Amino acid sequence: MKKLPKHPLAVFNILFLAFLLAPIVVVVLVAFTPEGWLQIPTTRFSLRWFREIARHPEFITAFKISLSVAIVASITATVLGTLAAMAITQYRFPGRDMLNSFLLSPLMVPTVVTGISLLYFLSMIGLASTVTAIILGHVIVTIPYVVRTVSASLVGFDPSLERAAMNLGANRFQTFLRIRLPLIAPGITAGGIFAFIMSLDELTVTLFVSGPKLATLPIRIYNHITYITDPLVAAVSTVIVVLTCIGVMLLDRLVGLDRALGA
Amino acid sequence: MKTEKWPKGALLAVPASFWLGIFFLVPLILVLSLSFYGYSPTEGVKPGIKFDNYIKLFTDTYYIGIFVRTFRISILVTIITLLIGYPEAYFLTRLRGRVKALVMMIVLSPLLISAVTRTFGWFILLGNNGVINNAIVGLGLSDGPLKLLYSETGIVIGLTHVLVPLMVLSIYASLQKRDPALVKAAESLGASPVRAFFEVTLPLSLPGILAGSVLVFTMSMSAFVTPAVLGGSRVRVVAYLVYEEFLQSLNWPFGAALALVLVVLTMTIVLVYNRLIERGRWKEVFR
Repeated sequence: MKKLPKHPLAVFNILFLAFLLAPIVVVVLVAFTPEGWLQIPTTRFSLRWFREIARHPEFITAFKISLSVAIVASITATVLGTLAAMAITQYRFPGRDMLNSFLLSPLMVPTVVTGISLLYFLSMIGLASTVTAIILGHVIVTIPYVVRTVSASLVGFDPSLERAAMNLGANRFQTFLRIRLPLIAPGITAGGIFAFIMSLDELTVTLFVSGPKLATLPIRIYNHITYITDPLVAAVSTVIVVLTCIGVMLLDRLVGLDRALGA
Repeated sequence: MKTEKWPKGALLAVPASFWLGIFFLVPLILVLSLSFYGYSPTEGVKPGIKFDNYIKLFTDTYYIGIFVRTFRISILVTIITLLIGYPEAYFLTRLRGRVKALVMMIVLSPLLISAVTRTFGWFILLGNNGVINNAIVGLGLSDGPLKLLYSETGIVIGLTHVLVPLMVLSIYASLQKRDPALVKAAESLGASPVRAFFEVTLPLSLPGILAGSVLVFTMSMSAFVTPAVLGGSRVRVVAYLVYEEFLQSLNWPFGAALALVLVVLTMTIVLVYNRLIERGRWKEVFR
């Protein structure tokens, strides 16, 4: 038989977790309603609204834009962030702490402020309302996550392993490829996945720089729910929730969620 | 042997610094100057150095009211996340193994699930015909549905939901660092478990409480998506006002001034709060 938790806080814990899961569970349930309005299905479940997605090409287009932006932005952020994390964790130089704070600073500045600044700057150089603009913004917002995740995985790295390899006759390139890369690869992958998830969900900065015509999936959903609310958005959201869950599980396997989130 | 002052490895940080320098730092400085520009609906943005935007913002009661509302919401969210986040963090330190991993995953889920999705979930839950109101009316707790959607209450609930994970994480981190022997010592010296908690555990977790509440407060002050969906133009917060000025009224200079005042105000409040706490009775735990 399963052992029941006996701590007095156990009941509180259950209520707390229910509060956190409630909105997500509701969205997923509503997605399966056979009705035409936001109703939690009780007797019948239907895939009607998932089929409906196919009849709304604007969601499909938006998803494609989101996906291509997320791929380009997360790869760029991963490369830039990983290099910077190496500099910060493995070398000492004047201003290193300041550099670290600078690289993490997009997390401290409100996204609305990042959004208006980038919009103003890009409209000066004629780049506003383009896919490039969205990618530029997403890289800014995701670099800190990569820097933090990769730094966390580099802190445990023992440089004497590399020296040992070089003593045994390996050159610098071989050492990097055979020793360092395999050891820090999980951290880099985790940083990349993290950046990818964050880019896929980014709304605020995108809202400012994307202009009236371009829409990523979060923007499309946001515009949709500010005008009408039907179960269609719930169905689209459910698809994203499933994708995010897969990403999160990978992340947890690779580095552990609490570390990735900087706790 | 003299170590290099500038090792070549430091160059690895150049690409990222360049990117953030050009697309983040420079635009921030430009926006600062933008906030001093003028604007007229017919001529658009007019460069110059004028304090009109700031004067308008600090004298018009409409704008002051929105700042006060944003502050009120943020303080409430900070207090509620602290009250419910602390027991949860405490409970987490007692868990082990797979149960702990599962609970941790659920605690972190609001941070990872798409912002529009979770806000839409609250939208469904809080509506007049939503689950919560149906339950309240069904149980006879109220005659009619409560105004939860498009109200400050709704925004506070939505923000508490996204931000409480940050509070739990920072308190959990500080509880983890405390030495369990200290509590045992207090208890063996005759302190009741309740007294041991208030005299030992709570003060030792103050750095976590401080870090968590600063984080939650700052994030609430600048939050956009949650108040936009759950309050929108019916219950405006400062971030929403900035959005309207930029994308609807097109008065960019005034929008820039609003945004900068929001940032400076938030930073000032946080600094004062830090000072007050660190000077207080428990200052030694911050050493």
